[in-house]
Amino acid sequence: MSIADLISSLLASILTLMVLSYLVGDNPLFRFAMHLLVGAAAGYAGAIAIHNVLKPGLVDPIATAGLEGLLNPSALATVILPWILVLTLLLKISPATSRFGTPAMALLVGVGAAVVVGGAISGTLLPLSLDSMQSLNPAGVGSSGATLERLLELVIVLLGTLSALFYFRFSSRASGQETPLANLAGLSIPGPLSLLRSVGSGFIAITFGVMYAGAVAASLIILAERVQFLRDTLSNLLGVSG
Amino acid sequence: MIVLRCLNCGILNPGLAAACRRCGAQLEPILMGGLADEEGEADENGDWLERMRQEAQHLSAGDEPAEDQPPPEGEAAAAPSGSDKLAEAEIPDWLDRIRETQTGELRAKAAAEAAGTASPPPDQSSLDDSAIRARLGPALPTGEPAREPKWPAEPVEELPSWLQDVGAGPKAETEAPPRVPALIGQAPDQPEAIRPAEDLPEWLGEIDTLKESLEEQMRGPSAAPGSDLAPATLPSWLEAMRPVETFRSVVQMEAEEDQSIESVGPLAGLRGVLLAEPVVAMPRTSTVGSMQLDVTERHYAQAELIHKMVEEEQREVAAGPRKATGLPFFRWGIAALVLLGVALPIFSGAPVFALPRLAPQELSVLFDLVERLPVDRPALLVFDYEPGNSGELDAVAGAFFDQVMGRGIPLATLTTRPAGSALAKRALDERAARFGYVPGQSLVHLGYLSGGSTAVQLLAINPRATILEGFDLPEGMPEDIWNAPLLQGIQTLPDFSTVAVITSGSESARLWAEQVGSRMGDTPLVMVLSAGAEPLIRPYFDLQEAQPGERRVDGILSGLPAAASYELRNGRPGLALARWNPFGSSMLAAELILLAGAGYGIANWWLGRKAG
Repeated sequence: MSIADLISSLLASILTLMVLSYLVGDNPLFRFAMHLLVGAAAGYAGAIAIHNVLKPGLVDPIATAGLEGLLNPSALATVILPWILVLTLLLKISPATSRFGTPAMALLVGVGAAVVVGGAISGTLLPLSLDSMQSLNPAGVGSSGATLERLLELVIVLLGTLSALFYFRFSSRASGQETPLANLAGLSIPGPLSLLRSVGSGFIAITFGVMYAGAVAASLIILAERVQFLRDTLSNLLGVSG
Repeated sequence: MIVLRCLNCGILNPGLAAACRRCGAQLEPILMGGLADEEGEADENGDWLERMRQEAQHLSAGDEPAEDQPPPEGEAAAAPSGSDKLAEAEIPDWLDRIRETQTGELRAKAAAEAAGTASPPPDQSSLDDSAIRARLGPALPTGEPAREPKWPAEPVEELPSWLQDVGAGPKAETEAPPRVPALIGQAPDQPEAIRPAEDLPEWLGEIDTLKESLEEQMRGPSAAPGSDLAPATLPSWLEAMRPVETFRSVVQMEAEEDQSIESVGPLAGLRGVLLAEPVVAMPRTSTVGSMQLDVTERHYAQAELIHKMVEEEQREVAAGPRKATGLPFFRWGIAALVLLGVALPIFSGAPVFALPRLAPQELSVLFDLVERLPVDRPALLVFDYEPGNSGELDAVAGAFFDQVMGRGIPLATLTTRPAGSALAKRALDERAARFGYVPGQSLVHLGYLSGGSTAVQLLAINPRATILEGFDLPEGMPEDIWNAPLLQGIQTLPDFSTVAVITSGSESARLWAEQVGSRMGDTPLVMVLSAGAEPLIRPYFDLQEAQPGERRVDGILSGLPAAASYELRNGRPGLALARWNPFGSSMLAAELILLAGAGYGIANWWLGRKAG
């Protein structure tokens, strides 16, 4: 390991310990590490934006085309219009000139919203809804093998979908005053709507639980990587082979 | 009660008043009878007239002559007899004062007549007029100013001693307020306004009649019989039509002494003139075109509520004493347990957990998919995560990279995060050297794709218009990165052999599935995910299983167990297997903590229920 690698590993280890010092509480070491991380990330992002976005998108076309190229009508859409939009967007810096940047901002937001909404409808809503309906098709079940496992999966999908939709219906949530179906030995059996709502909340809780478990697992993997890194750095400093 | 009516202004004054309370003129009581009911009795008896006549004669005769001084000639007959003296003893005090006053005047008159023998007597009419004016002063109805008597007064030395005393009276009267006759009478038991007109003199009756007519006009039609409206109440519709004024609509009349005197204009010198400034010069709300707001009590309540909210915002809350917090032993305990679970296998090599024997079902799909990828077209790897997640995703995606690079498939990297290019370089450079990849020929970093969802959709349609400059390109690369031998055959996104998105967030994965998934054609789309993002992305993979024609995600890899299985299947141990024991140990610690927390909650609930 070179000296540069050793120094960089040592600095990284110190910063890792400074971040882990948050266990004691909020302290200057943790804040310093956070400020350093945010500053370095912002500076790096700015440099990337200049070299990978602004320079090839705005400067290079002008440098390549020259003054004669700018007079070309085709340059209006590829060079001049982007510059106008960028300059007007820069006017958003000052409240006095902010309104001049509104068209560029409206273009950004409008196009972005249209793309997101269109993609959500055509890529998520319709395909997944059709898939949920298709899963109840007996022909589909038969084609993929009418095993008990498959049937059980379909029942779970159907029950989970319907009960979750019932849970998010406000009318169903307001049915908490529903008359209990029966009372057995002092145990009240809720009505069908309340029962379906409870099942839906159960499915939603399981979903969130799985997501939370995944997040915990990811965090533990990251922590293991950091501890492994600290152990490697310490071994390198002490000259002990791992 | 005895009252004196001033003949100058007509107002009633108390019986003991020496001057009128309104005009200030000195009152000379003239007994003309009561004004109340006793008057009728006096009329019936006729005694009061007789007494008044005798009193007048007595006063005209020089009033009570002193016993040591003989009465003047001609007045002896008018001297009071014994019976008169007896009646005089019964005269009340007020009449005595009247008598004394008139006695003094008569004495002064007699002295003036005696002195007038040396000078030509003035005309009787003018004398009477002068005397009246001297007594009434400027309050005389003619408006002519009061004058002093024109004849000169006799020197005081020539007057008798008793007249010298009397003579001082008229001289003093010239500086005093004018004297006017006052009618003596009884105060009415009822208010004067309701006294029958026939009991009053004719001219007073006319005044009362005029006053009543004016009051009737001022009351207006609102006081007409049969009206339901109160005198000071307007109908609601009329109230709504009333213009809003900023100044007071009711003029408060000030006392006469406080009213200002007009200084300019034709009304100069008059007091109590209405001021024009409030109407002309002072600002006020225009009544032209003004709108009457229909403000209800609810509006007032809401306005008051907003006012209170604004006041609450502006109110500074005093900083309370900082709550003393104890040391976070609980947090320290949990952290120590987790750190112990992670560090123990790393530093001591124990415990050792069994490797996963059952691979996830989707792993075989992904493995077979990579095995079928063509090697003549590059695979696009999208590094869509932040450096903080590299500890997990480098270990999860390592097995996928190993399989792809083991097959010699050319690679191109892309990122939608500014720091993604550096992560790609860090993750692939070491493997590139291991698998013999040459930067620029079999591995190229396309760099940062800015623009979010719009740019991703544009990338799916026309990648050459989206990516303009690469990242960390080696020497010898053409100016246009798309002219590099590796990328010459790429015109659209499906021209890549596969597109693999390595991401830590479900939003980013869903964005790629929505915008790119339907445009991939036969080119597979692979998702390498963090464990937390898998539940929300798995439906896109299951969709491919149910409807092969509507696929969105063709392969999915998530979590360290799947990655460890992948490495075992690849036969290339990597980061996943290296972190398997720390991961297992820390997960065990986390499960113990969760179980302890759940047990504590159940016990707490059970104890609470038992305690009622």
